[in-house]
This record gives sequence, structure tokens and C-alpha cells, in this order.
Amino acid sequence: MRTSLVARIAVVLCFLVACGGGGDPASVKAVDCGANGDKLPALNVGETGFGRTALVVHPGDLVKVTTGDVAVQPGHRDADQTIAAPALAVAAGIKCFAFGATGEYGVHTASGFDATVYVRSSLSQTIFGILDFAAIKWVFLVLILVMPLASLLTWAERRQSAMMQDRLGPNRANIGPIKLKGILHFVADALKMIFKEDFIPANVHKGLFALAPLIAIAPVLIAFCIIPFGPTVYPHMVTHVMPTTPDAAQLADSIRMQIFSIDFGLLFYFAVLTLANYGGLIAGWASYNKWALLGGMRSSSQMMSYEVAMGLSLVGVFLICGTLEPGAIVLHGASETMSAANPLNWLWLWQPVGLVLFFTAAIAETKRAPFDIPEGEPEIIGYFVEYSGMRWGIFFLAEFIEVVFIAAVVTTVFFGGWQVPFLEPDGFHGFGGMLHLPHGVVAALQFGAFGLKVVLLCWFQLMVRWTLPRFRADQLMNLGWKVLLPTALGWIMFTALIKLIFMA
Amino acid sequence: MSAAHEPIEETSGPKIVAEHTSSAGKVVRSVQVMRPTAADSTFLVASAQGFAVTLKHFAKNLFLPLRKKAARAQPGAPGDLSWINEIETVQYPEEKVTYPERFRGLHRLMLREDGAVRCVACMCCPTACPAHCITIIPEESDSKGIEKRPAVFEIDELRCVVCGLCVEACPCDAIRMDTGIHAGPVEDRGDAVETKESMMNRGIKSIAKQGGAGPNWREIK
Repeated sequence: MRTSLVARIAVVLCFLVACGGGGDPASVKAVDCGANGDKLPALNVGETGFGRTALVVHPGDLVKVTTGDVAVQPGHRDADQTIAAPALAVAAGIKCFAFGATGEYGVHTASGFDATVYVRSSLSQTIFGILDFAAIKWVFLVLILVMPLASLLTWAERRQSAMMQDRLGPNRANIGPIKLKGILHFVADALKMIFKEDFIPANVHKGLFALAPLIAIAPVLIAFCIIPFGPTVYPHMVTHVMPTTPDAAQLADSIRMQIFSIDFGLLFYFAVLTLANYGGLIAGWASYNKWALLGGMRSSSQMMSYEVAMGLSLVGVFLICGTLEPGAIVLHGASETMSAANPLNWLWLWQPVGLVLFFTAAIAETKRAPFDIPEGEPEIIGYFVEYSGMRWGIFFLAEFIEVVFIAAVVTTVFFGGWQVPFLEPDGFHGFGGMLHLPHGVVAALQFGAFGLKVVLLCWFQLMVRWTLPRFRADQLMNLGWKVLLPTALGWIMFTALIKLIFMA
Repeated sequence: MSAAHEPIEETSGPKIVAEHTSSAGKVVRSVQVMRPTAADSTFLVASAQGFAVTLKHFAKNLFLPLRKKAARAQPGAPGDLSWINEIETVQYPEEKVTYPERFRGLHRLMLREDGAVRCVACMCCPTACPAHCITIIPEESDSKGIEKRPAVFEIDELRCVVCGLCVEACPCDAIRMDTGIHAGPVEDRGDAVETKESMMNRGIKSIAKQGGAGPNWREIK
């Protein structure tokens, strides 16, 4: 691959399924440059504009454009249409930018493809490309949104429990006269834990003792990658109303508010969050303390019992949506005929049993009351009894991040994710009229809606934690194996039957 | 109401519903084991009832204003309580509850007309003290008609159980606990020992009759 002297060379390899009504082959410029390196005619579009040409490319073709970066827009957005696989493109030394929020990549072997190639300024692509980079989004989501929210939950939990018990709760932490109802307590707590003695008892396995908190917190931070925390933002449309059928140039750049859009999204969550189990078990085992070990055992037995029900409780959702990808669940909802922005299309209405089952099992997974027999803060000794200072704080923080994560998952799966009721890409629809809103406002509203739903569900989890008394170990196992599991299985059968009868 | 809310004796153990003697001569008891019903074992109804209670408190305390400071500090405060929340917390350093009249605070030693200590070192209070926290070393008194006075009068406030028996025992109205002052924080255990001087500094002149005047001595003017 040759490099240009004046501009970056980006090459797009696009595979597009020719599934009915592709472009007119005569009107496009067919280039077969894979074998002999023929050049596409140079497109001269200036620094910021968009130029376009159309061509048919074949598997293995190389399309080279010298004026800037290149994007490819499929001719149609059918369900099985795919955009070039980035992995393949990268392997060939080619950069590929995918449009839209479909996020479905695949390699197809049909003989002919048509596509429109847009050429645009490399500067804007670079900025938006960086913003669309997974690590940037992870920093934004986890470090800027989730960590502060989880930290604030430590304060919110104590304030809320106080309110529920006719107390005031912590309200005195202040910076000078700034009290903010004691919201700064989380800063004080963090400082306290950082400066506390990091005590390591004799005879512990030092390596595993140090590793356990990290094992507990890392999977939770990773699992956030599947959460679609906002709509796909198209930077060129921020000040404009999104048309019904947007031009590809208008969608030339996109920032998808989801770190990884993977087909097995929710399975990824189950798989990754299970690893957090090892954190508790290793913490108990490495502590050289019988009670800590027993706590770790209780933790793993509880996690194992409830993971079964948790996974099965979402199978009904998979059956209805036909996908495990959270972004797709948000976009489609239960019915394809209704708008995804209609609250009646969200799955809380269609999967109420799944919702209750999943929420119960998920709370059990966070190891908080009423399922807190692994640790049992005041009475029974838990797996992190030997931990102090920030090591203990990390366990604590992991618990709260998990609370946020559970709220995010329930929001995404059951409550429409970032969808605002009746807010379509071009504005509010409903009650016989509509209100046009620019794309930026729509995106901001949807982003805020996701945050609001997550905060409300976090609040509800705190309600649960401070309302219900702790289960006994036998009650816990009874609930998990004799109530949740059979109900989940029955609900799968019921959903499948309904789908077979009415939706087949 | 579900079975979980029925009287305790029914759920505390197996209930004997029948008892008869078998052909082998053994007593056979049929027991009814109280197991949760299907509705109870899902915990849904009971949970919902619980949420109703906590949600009511939470909403009331979140949205309604705090009770006025003075009203909150006093039990049984008058006024309409329906529009305020139920938070009882007293914001201590800024607000203080009014102590009852007979609250027992730090000791003080009362004074005579001439400013001398009223105590005659009769040793009644250290005798009465259940914590043995009072130390008195008597000495000859210069005053006419009074035999002794304390050379040292110390009370270890860390040992004091604030029972007030010393006050009751005193025949001279020499020691009282009506200052309303808490024993303060100290950095050294020795600092918690109240000396004769420190207790006399809090003292006032007592007009009580020396030697006592019966049970109503406080009211004698």
C-alpha cells in the first residue's frame, strides 16, 4: 500500500450484500483494483465538503482515495445488510468507517456489491473518530459518569436510609460554608479510606490478597462496555432537525454511545460479571481466616445459584427481540410495528415476570440486602473481614458500581434505554401533532433520559436494600432454586408459546 | 393476612393436631407444620407492604419541611404536626434539647456567706458514693462552731456514675449537681478529676441552714 505525500490515505474495503434493489450497475464506476492497483479517479472536494462517487466493489478489492478519509454508506438499511468488517479492513492495512448505529458487521461473499463512497475532510474525521474510539468512551462513561455516581450512592444510601427511618443522615461534610446537604461526604469517605492504614494480617497470601479487590471491581467496569448509554450522535446534524431519510453526507460522522456493540452483548455481561465472583472467593480464601473463607463460600454459592435464574430470566427478552445486543433491544423494543420510543413498546410491559425475576436475581448478584449473607455487615463475618483502608473501599465501590450497572441493564433491557417517550429522531410525536427538535437537543434529551432512569432504578435498589430484612441462607436457596428458577423456565415456555402463536 | 402474620405461637413450632396411642403402646402425635404458603414464599406481597411503609416515610421526610428547631427539641411540642415531616434529629451543636429540671450535671461545692466552702468534711458523700469517686481529706477549721473543713475535695468524674447520692447524703447543702454542665472531654485522665477549687468556682452562696433543715431545705428562703 503506497502512501500519499500530501494527505493521509485511507482506503475502504466495503462488502455489501446485494439484497434487492442495489444501485444501477451502469451508473456506478466499477473498479476492480484489488489485483493490479488501479486508481479510482481522484475526487476533489476541498477540505470540508463532501464529494461522492459510486462504485461496485468486490471482495478483496482495494479502493484508494487520496484526498481524505473515506466512508461507505450502504445503499439500503435492511436487516441483513452489513458494512465491511473492520477487523478485515484493518488486517489489510485499510481504515474503514461504518455509518449508522446498526453495528452489524460481517463478511459476505456475494459476488457484487454497490456502495457510495463519500470523501470528506480528514480533520473532522479525526476529531470525531477519536471521540468514537472505545477507550475514550469508556473513560467518559465509567470514569466520568459511573464512578462519581457510584461514589455519590455511598452518600445517597445513608441519606436515603435516614429519610426512611425518620433521621437526617450525614449532612455536615462541608468546604467552608458549602454544605450541599452533606453531598461532600463521599469525598471525605474517600480521603479517609485512602489515608487509613493498609493492614495486611500475618499469614495471608499476599499476592491474592492484593489481587482480590481488583478481581472484584474489574469485571464490573468492563461490563459497562455493552451498555448503550445514549443515541448515536451525528455531529454534522447537531443543529439541524434530522430528516426522515438522512443523506449519507449528513450521517458521515457518527459517535455511537456504546462502547462495544457486540452480538452477544448480554451474554458478555453474564460471562464477565461472573468473574467478579472470584474476587469474593479469593478474598475469603487468601485472608487466612476461617470466617472470611466461609463468607467467600457463601458468596460463591449465592452467585452461582442466582446466575442461573438471572440468565434464564432474560431468555424471554431474547425470544421477543431476537437479539442479545442491548443497542438493538433499545432500538426495536417488543414490537416492530410500534415506535421504539413508545413506552408501551418497552419490555417492562411485555416481560413483567422477566423483569421481576431479573431484578431479584440481579440484586442478589450485587450481594446487598436482602441478599447480603455473604458479608452481613453488622452481624455475620464476610469475606472481606481482613481488609482495611482502600482495599476494603474497592470492594465497597465495586458493590455500588454493580448497583449502577444493574440499573443500567434493567433500564436498557426493560425500560427503553435512552429512549424518551414519544421522542423520535426528528422530535416529539404524539397526540396528533409533532414538535421538531434539532438532533442535538434530541440527543441531549435521550442522554438525560438514560441517566434519569438509571438514577431512579438505583434509588429503587436502595429502597429494597433498606426495606427488606435479610434472607436466611435456606430461604435464599429456596427462593433461588425453587421459586426463581422454575418461574423463569415457565416464563420462557410461556413466551415461546405466545411468540409461536402470535408473532410467528 | 397471610400465615406470616398470625400469632407467634402458631408459627413457633409444630402444632399438635391429634394424639393417640398406637397398638404398640407408643404415643403418636400428628403435627401440623407451618410452612409458608405459595403466596408468602414469593415474598412479593410482603415486600410490597414493606415498600409502602418505607416509601411513605421517605416521601414525607423528603418533601415536607423540618419541624421547627424549638419544637423539635422538646418532646410533646404543641402545634399541628400533620404538615411537617417526622425527622426527630436534633442538630446538636446548633440546637440543644432543654434538659429536665432535675438533670444531674457536673458537681459544685456551695459557699457560705463569707465565701468559705460549706462542706464540713463529714464524710457522708464518700460513704454514700457507690463508685468511690470522692476523696476528702479533712483538716481543722478556723471558723467558729465548725469543727472540720476539707483540705482536699476531689471527685473523679471518670468514675462518677452521676447517681446523685452524694447530693442526697449531704446534710449541709454543700454539694450539688444542678449545674447542667456535661463532664467535658479531657486528654489526660488526671484532668477529669474535679478539685475543690474548680467545684467551688461553680458554687454559689447557699442560704440553707447549716446542718440541714429537713427534706424541704431547698425551698427555705
